[in-house]
Amino acid sequence: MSPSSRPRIPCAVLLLWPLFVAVPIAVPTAARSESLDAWMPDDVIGYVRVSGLGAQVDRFLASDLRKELESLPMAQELLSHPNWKKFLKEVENFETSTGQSALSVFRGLLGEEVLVGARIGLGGPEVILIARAPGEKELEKSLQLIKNAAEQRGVFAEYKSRQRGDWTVESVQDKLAHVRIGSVWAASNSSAAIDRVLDLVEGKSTSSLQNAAAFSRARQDTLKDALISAAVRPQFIPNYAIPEKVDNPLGSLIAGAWTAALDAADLLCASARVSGGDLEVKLASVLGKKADDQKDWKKYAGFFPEVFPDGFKERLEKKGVLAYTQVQRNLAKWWERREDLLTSKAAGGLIEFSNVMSIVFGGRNFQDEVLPDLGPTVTIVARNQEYKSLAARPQPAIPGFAGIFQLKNAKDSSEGIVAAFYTLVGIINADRAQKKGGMSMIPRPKKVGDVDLHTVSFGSAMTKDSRPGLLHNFTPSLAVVGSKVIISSSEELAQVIVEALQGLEEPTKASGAARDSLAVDGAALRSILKTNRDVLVEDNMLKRGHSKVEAEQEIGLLFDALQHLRDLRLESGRKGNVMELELKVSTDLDTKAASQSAPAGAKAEKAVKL
Amino acid sequence: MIRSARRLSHAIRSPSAPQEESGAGGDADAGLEAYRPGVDGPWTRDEASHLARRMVFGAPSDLVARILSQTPSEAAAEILAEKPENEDIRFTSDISRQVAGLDGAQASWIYRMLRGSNPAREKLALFWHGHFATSERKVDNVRLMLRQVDLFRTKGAGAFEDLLAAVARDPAMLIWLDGNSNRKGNPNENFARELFELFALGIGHYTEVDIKEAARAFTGWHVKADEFWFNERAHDAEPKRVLGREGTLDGGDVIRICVEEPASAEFIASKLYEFYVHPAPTKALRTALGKAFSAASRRTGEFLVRLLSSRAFFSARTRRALVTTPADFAVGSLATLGARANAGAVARSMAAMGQELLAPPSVKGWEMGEAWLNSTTLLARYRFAVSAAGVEGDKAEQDLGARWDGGSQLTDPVAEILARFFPERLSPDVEKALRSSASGDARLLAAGCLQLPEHQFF
Repeated sequence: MSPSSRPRIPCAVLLLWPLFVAVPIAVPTAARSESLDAWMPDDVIGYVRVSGLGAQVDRFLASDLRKELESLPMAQELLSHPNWKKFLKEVENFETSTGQSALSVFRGLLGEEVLVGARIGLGGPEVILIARAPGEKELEKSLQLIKNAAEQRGVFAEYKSRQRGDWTVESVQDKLAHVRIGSVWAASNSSAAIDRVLDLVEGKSTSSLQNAAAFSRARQDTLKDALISAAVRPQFIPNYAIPEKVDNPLGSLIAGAWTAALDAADLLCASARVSGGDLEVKLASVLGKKADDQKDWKKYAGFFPEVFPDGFKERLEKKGVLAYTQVQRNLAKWWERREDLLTSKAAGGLIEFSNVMSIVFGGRNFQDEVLPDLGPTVTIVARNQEYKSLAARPQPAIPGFAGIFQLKNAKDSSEGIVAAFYTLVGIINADRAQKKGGMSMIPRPKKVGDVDLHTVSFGSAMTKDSRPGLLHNFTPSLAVVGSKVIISSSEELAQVIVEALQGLEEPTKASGAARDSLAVDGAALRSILKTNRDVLVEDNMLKRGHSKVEAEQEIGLLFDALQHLRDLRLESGRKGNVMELELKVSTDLDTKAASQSAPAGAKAEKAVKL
Repeated sequence: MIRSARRLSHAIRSPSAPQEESGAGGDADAGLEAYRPGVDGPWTRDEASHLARRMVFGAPSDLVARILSQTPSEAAAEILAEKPENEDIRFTSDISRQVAGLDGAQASWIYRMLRGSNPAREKLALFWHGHFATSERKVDNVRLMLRQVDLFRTKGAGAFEDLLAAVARDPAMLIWLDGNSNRKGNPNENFARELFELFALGIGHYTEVDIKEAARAFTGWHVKADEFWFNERAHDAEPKRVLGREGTLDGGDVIRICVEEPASAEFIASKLYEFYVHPAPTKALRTALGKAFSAASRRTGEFLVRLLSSRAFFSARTRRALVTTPADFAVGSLATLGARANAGAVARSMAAMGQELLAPPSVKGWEMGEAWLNSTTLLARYRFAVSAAGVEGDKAEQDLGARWDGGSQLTDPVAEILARFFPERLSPDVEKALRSSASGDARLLAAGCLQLPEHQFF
């Protein structure tokens, strides 16, 4: 290479090259890009992670939602509470002494990501907090401001420092130890815990949360981009015990699967996410060996039947229902194991129920003949009524309720079910006649397509009542459509369901996964509450000793809270060795859209001066 | 609590002797003359509180102040006068009539006692409810029970005859006493018997023949579709003889005949006296009361105003002479404190104390006086006391849903609370012990006041 073709190196570079090497070396390399999980020790019992809270708070403070919420009477009451005012005073003092807004300090310290873990150390419970700040300068500034404010108040006046390699660990009155690692801050009530964090930072240890097999499932079983997520190993929680038996049969039927899941959990995970106007929550129980090994789990067999989906749920949703819930249980198996699942008092109470049901079903044995005939899917539906046959809307107006059950041998069983229905009607009529000549229920069967709809209603005089009462909500009805039997409090609803079921093909393929679901329609819920507003107000007056004005204010809060609800959906079921529950609340609030008209950060900060 | 129980036991074993009025059983009439403040005795917070506690529930401080600004008879008349009911009561009553079950109806009535514009009328309605005792447990129709209570409100202070005639036609009463099975040729004596024995005359002023004849007069007084129905076909229109009067008497005639008996005036007036003034009037006093009732044209309101502004009422013997009914204890305590509560929970507490509204134990109503106090009912009262005062940390508070500001608006809460409940001053020992146990905490003091034996009487 000739001298004229050699690359020309600037003199400045030649002189200053050490800096380009030294500076990167001086900044601890681990600080830049690690996941916080990599620095949390793996022997924590559990942890909580909050991500992007600073941005969410900014969005909220700049949004119309915030203004709406502040205008609510309940919010006004909370904002004028002495404790809240005390808190605001402290914030004001902080801002006066530091010259900075409390929000910016919060954002600078905890706004990006926070991971908090808890473990049981030799000296007792230890909490480790690791937070990522927007940058090193922001972190340093925030910490310094907090320190200044604390010193001015005389709080935490004693500091001790020690050097641990490249890091300075500061302790405050032996109650709090903390260290800055670039833009990451770690704090704990245990100095030894901070050392463990630094071991991970320096690569002296690899026993981190990130590498922990015990928590690996948490990443799969939490919502992506969750605002907050948590995981805990329940077997390490002191005194963690799930009651073996419950005292409520209905509670057992509905939630028994979760009792089982909590009992057998190796890991419990929870997460929540806000996107647009939707809130999603997910709970998951990662089942351990207990779920498969122990004899105990056989008692839960009734909660995990094989199911055959048929699209009924989807048809139902198009029919304007207020709410529905669908649970999948092997009722016969549940009944067989009831004494293992229920307290002796609750189980004993079911004997009488069984006897009554046997009478109602024309002498058929409830346990041996009726229950085994029922399929696993039970659907409960609620729908607001239109009361077309009445002179006026009843007060209170109660939605129609219906239960839809599956029959394995519909052809053989349906006659018995119809007979049982009319038996019950007869019993009720006899009781009413005996008491005081009360009006009887009269059968008024009709056809819906080719389906017999058995329905009863009170005498025609009732329909002319100008101030109909509670009884006017009830027109008990029964129908059998294919393999499904519908029992409803309302003829209107029974007819709607019959129409939804007609033409539905009988399922042949098992899905294998029993899923429980619940859905509530916001508009229908608002409608029924609005119809019964006076009853709700009166109930509030009597229960709270309020005047009508005060009661209307409180009930107004309920309506305010619900006015933005679109719908609520919940699904729960077992997928492999995970029991999961997903809740989604959809609203028409879109804080993102509202905040697009106003920049976050400074404006939000200004807006927060309450 | 043990010391309190001993003092309570002592107080029960030594009830006030039958009241004698000015002169050993002599001039009972003079006791019914108007009380003259400054002449017959003082007119202080003590007297005003005494009047308030007896006429309404408790002694709310604003009412006591209002009483002191008037003469006793003006105050009694003003308290009893019917005022337009406030919107809160109109609203809750309307809804309750449509939707309430028994517990809702009970709650609605308690709410009315606490927040209504006519607490004296509510108290009087409660008196009549115990007098014409009818239970929803048999009637099985809350709407009818509420209508009956409305009847007591609207007619309770008017002419007794009008009230009695309306009660005889009341559907709830007819169901309660099996009116529909009272038919010509097979009369059911239930209503006739209770009319004479319990409602209008009292024992000893009629014969069994009178009952049988009166039953015939009420034949055909039936209920149909929840309304009174005169079933002519079931009515016995033949001549009858009741209490010495003959004719083709019907139910209305029998009622008139009963009410015109001097014994009726004495009976009703004495019952009112026992409820509002003192548990044991003498024979002479009963006669005087009967005369006074007749002089008021047998109009309950007029009679009560005279009675409750009389020298007898303000005499020393009547103070703390009555055992508080559960209604007086529960509703009265809340009203005196100015506290709010879950009306349904108050109703349930009262039931635990022995008084379930709209469901008296029998046609005789509730047994008054000492019968209110036994180990079970006292415990219910003590629990109520702690809840009503909102003593922190007590789970019972959650049951009652009571909300009281703890006297935070008062300059000297401890002194004011003591003055409200015991304007006549407690004995120095008791007050000292009470103050000491409360250690300046107004809630503890209030709870202590409510639990004192002295507060079980009013």
